[in-house]
Amino acid sequence: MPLKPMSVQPTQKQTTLRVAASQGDIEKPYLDACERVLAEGVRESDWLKAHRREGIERFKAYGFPHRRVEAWKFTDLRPKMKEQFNLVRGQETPQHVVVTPFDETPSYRLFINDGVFESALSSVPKQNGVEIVTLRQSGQDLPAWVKDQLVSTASLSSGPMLELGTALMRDGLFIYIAEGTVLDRPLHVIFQTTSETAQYHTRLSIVLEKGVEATLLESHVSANGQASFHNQATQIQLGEGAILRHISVEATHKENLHVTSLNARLAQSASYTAMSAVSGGALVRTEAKIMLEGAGARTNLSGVYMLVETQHCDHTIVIDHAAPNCTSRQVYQGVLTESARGVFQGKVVVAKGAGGTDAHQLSRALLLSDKAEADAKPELEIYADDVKCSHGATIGELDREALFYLRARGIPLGQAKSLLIEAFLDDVVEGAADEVLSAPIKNHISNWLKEHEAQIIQEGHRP
Amino acid sequence: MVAVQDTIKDVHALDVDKYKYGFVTDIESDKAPKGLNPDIIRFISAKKNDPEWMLELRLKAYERWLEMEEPTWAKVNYDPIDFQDIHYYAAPKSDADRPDSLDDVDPELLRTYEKLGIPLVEQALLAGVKNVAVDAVFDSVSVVTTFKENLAEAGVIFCPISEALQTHPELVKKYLGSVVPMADNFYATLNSAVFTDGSFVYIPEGVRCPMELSTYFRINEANTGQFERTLIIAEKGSYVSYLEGCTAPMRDENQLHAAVVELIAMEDAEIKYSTVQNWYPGDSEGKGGIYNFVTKRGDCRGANSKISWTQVETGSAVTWKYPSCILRGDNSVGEFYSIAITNNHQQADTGTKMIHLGKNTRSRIISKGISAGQAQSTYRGLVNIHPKAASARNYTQCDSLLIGDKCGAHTVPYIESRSPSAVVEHEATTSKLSEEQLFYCRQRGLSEEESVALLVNGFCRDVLQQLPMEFAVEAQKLVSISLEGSVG
Repeated sequence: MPLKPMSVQPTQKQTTLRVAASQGDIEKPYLDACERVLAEGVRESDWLKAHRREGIERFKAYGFPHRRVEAWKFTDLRPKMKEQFNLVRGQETPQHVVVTPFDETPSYRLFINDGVFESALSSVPKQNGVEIVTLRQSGQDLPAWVKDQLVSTASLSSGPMLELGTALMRDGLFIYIAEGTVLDRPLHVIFQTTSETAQYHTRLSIVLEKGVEATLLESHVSANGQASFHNQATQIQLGEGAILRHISVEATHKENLHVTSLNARLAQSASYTAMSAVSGGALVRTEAKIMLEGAGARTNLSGVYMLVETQHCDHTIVIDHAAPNCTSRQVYQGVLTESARGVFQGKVVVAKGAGGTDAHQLSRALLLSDKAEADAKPELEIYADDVKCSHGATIGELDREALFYLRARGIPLGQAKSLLIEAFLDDVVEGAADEVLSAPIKNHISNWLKEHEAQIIQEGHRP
Repeated sequence: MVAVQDTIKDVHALDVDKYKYGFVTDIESDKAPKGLNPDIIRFISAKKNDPEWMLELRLKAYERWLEMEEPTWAKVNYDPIDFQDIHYYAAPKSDADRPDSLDDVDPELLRTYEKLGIPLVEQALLAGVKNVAVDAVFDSVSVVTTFKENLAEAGVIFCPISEALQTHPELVKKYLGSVVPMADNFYATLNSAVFTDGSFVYIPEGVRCPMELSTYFRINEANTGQFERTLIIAEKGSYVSYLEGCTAPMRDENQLHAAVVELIAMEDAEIKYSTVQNWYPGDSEGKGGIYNFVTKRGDCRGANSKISWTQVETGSAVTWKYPSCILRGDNSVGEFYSIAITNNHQQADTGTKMIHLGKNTRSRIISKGISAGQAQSTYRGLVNIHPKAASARNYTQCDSLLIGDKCGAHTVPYIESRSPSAVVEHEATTSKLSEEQLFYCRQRGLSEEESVALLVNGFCRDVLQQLPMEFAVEAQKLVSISLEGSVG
């Protein structure tokens, strides 16, 4: 695996902020839990123990993020972290398996319950060239490439949440697909929360060697109505010309906290397409860093979110154009009603020498109520001259004329609004995936609209 | 070795030539000792003959300033500033007895103005014919103010702020610090403590100011911070257009400038504030140049009021400037038109804040950033829509142009909306100078530099059009001068 371990050096600015954050009581229970995990992990290799120790030390240095940390400006995690979450062992097989949007799509199911892989509920592809390893099952003998992935994740996505995850993860799923392998079906990773008020920290890592093409589906669902906390780290590594389509749906209970640190590295001409739909969770944040390391690499990121009550969804994305002639696209659109809040922070960095860069970014939000809030910070940081970069952001309400047109033709208000919202969101979905993969997402959107029609009509309608 | 020396000399000569306003006038100045402490503030206050409340305000600001930290969030790098190594007060000798006519003015000063291209002598002769009043500020103290009678007839007050403190203390006391509070930010607080001069403008109800008001600022003494404070009040239904332009002599050591500008527009009033900033940007190695940390803010206090900022920023080594509008009154309008040109080692972090509080408030932001050489230019802006700002509207466009592969252009917009009926739109693009267009111009016999100047002027057109006539011509020339040596 061509991996260069990188050292983790928080910048000077973070250092000063750390002092301001000062170790509070909020971190204490988590640090205690870290020590317990370390003490209990008898079967773990010394290497992993040392790795966890490093995670603890770095987390201590960071503390939980607060609003004065620029990347967390619009999302305050600290109050949420005050809740006591149990560190579950995840040893019992769940009583029932929740429905996911991709149940109709033929796929290899990889089932993760409370952060632990359940082989009994999974259908692992048995094929040469595909390796699937879990942290728990491999115990003392961690393959070298899994170690590489762990180290690389730590160095590339370092941040308080990732470090906490390193210290507290119970399990992790590592997928490796060798050159020349063709998977006949998508991989479908299901994260289910079964235990009440649980916290679980997970790893998902996928490596595609040169020329491999694969599809990764990801569902997040919950089997109970209690608040849980899922801290996820995803690492994606694409070899030369490899293609990954990554489609995820966050549909957990509305009390859930879900924080993801995603990191993708793309070699020459590799392509990474990601599409996410968020309708669940109390606070859902995805912090993605896409590194276009090889010339001609392409990435296409998109997302839709539909939020009610006090739901909060945050997409924070950094696309690093480190090589010439790379292309990146970002399209994020969402609808917010009641007191929901949608955040989009997208940053495109074009390094010196990354000529021929083509980067585009778009963020659009619909506000349907007086209390909803949308924040956008589309950032460009450009150090090369031969570039084509642009971004656009709009925030507004539903088009009144379109609404009037539909109403004038006898369509009831709720239905008219739903139609317009559906068109607004489907636009993104259709642009991101083919029919087979976009159909489940479109169904998900349409079901959501049916369920929430009341909330859509009642709020914020102005004559 | 001799050859090397010659080369250095040649290069130096070139640099000096390039900056045509780079000269130093030798006038003995009345300076406060270096450093900042309560005694210096009392000294400044006594020099300015401040009322008691002003001194108290200054001392309070100083105390707050001591507790504050220098902001580090802007994308600019510079050597740390030693605030104790600066003279906080410098005034030309002639402060004590102001001249009655131009004959009494120090001839050295007059020559300086002539070099700057302000035909003061002519203006005095042609008074009443040419319609521009110049309140020329020379190193913190206003020396000559013209056209006062004309303005007085209309009821307009246009004078140095230190004079306003004597003649209209009640107005100054009422409005000073009401838009930019005393402890607003690090540099504004410093300014509150030590400001020495600036302009004061008061337009009474229903008056349309009969002429464009303008002030030329000039930093002259080495190691002297320039701390201007400008306050413009437009009463109900009035209109004023204010021009501010600056040049500074060449210096090796960095000079600090921390100005504060406050605008207040009452019901139906309109203020148009235009700036051409052409201070010494440092030489082509990035040595020297002005540090420009400015707080500018306008308050649309009344319904249907309008504040429009237009700026052409070509000078200064470091620029840190965010002219903002607080749209408090219903139907009020805020505008921001900006050109920021950075060349060589210049750094500019500039933009605006539009805070929508009232109903049907509108704002428009047009920002054009041009980077050449090894310069870094950043647009940083905020559009905030309050929940009560029903049907608010914002349109933002920020375009960046890159000339050469060693410079950088960055865009950092913050958009926050809490009103469902508001419409917020933001667009930004970054691209390089079109080679096709350049080729087209070259083919028609224009030199490379002329071609670049033409294309860049085209790129900035939307903003240049907003400038008053007098400035538009000057600004176009400035755009060309600023980019000299950036291609080829």
